[in-house]
Amino acid sequence: MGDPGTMTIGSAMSASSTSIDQLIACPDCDRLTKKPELLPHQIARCRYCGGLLRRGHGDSLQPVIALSLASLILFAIANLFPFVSLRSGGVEQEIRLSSGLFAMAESGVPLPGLVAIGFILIAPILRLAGYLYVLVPLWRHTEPPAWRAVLRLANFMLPWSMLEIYLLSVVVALVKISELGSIVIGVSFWSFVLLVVTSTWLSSITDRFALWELVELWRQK
Amino acid sequence: MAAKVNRGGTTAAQAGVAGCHQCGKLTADGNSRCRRCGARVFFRKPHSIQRTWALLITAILLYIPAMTLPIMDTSILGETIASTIVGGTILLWQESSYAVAITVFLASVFVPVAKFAIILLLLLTVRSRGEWRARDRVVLHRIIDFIGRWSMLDIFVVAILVALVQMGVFATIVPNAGAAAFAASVVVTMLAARSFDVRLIFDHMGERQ
Repeated sequence: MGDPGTMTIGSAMSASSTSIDQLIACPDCDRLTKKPELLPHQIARCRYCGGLLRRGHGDSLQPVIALSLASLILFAIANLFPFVSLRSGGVEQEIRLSSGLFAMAESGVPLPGLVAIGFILIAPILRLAGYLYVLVPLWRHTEPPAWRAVLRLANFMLPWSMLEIYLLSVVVALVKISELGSIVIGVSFWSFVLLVVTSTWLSSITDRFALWELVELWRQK
Repeated sequence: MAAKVNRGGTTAAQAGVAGCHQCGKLTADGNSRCRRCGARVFFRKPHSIQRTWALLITAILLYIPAMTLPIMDTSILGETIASTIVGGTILLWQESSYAVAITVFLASVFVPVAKFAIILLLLLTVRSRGEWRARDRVVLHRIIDFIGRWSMLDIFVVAILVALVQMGVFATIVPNAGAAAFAASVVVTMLAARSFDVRLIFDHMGERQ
């Protein structure tokens, strides 16, 4: 019995005759627990280590679709109009959300700029567009090609999507250059603030476990 | 080994099942593909400890040039100043922007160093297979997984400054090599934290008495 894995499922679970699908394992400490019944916005934590076991997800795909779509639209608006500009002695320099990132990627030290483009543009867009690509057809009971791989990719992008950090960076940058001239906040900046709100909201109502369980539930309907 | 089933209950691995890291579904067949989401299923992340050591050492080595080399060059009216992360923080402090100085210091110095220390602690203590503060160690891992991304803050600040401060001879900012080393260090540290399988902390627990 020294090696984990030698105990069979039968011997571990026959006492309560629990099937494997009624159990979940804590992602942090691997302890088995009975799958909790959760309402939306409820959270189950591991009794042993306090790890996040599950988020309640309800039975509707619509909240996730709505917030993903709203976020993508705000993202588009954030790219269409001036983000911030710096006015100094008759000279005005204006940046868009994307040009603010591309400038460093085109400089003599491109690596940090490429990383920033990955975390502020590519990862968030792949996540939001991936959710829509998978969930909208599933909602209408059709299966888009390679949807499992796309949903895995969208979920993978979550920790690498750093919109909220970028927002704080803009504030720090503006403080740093406040002595160089006057700063004008553009329409896109406010759209970006709303984008941070909707994408954080999206992360708070779902995660990868909840999303897969929700999709499974929906497909059985 | 009657004490094997320890006080917290049975782990999935002890029961011979593996939780899918992608969708959470339990599978009796380790090292296969998940039937629900198609991700690879494994009992523990493969080569977790070796991979974490390699990534941690790389990240620490990258952090040295990240701190010592300048992250950007500021030219104002023909005069060029190269600033390091710490230099920029001190400057903000001297200009009385205390809140911003503390924010940058936390994101660029405190968080990365704390992350190195915590991952090192996790790697050294997981080898002893002991119960020592196991739950606290999991909490530490959860904290670094959550706050580690915020270290990118100063890189994004440089990106915005480089784009915005392009006013010819009056004022120009260009990035410098320290920024590349810092960005690489943050990414590699994030990979190190994610490659460490926290479940290893609880494995073999209770075997030693």
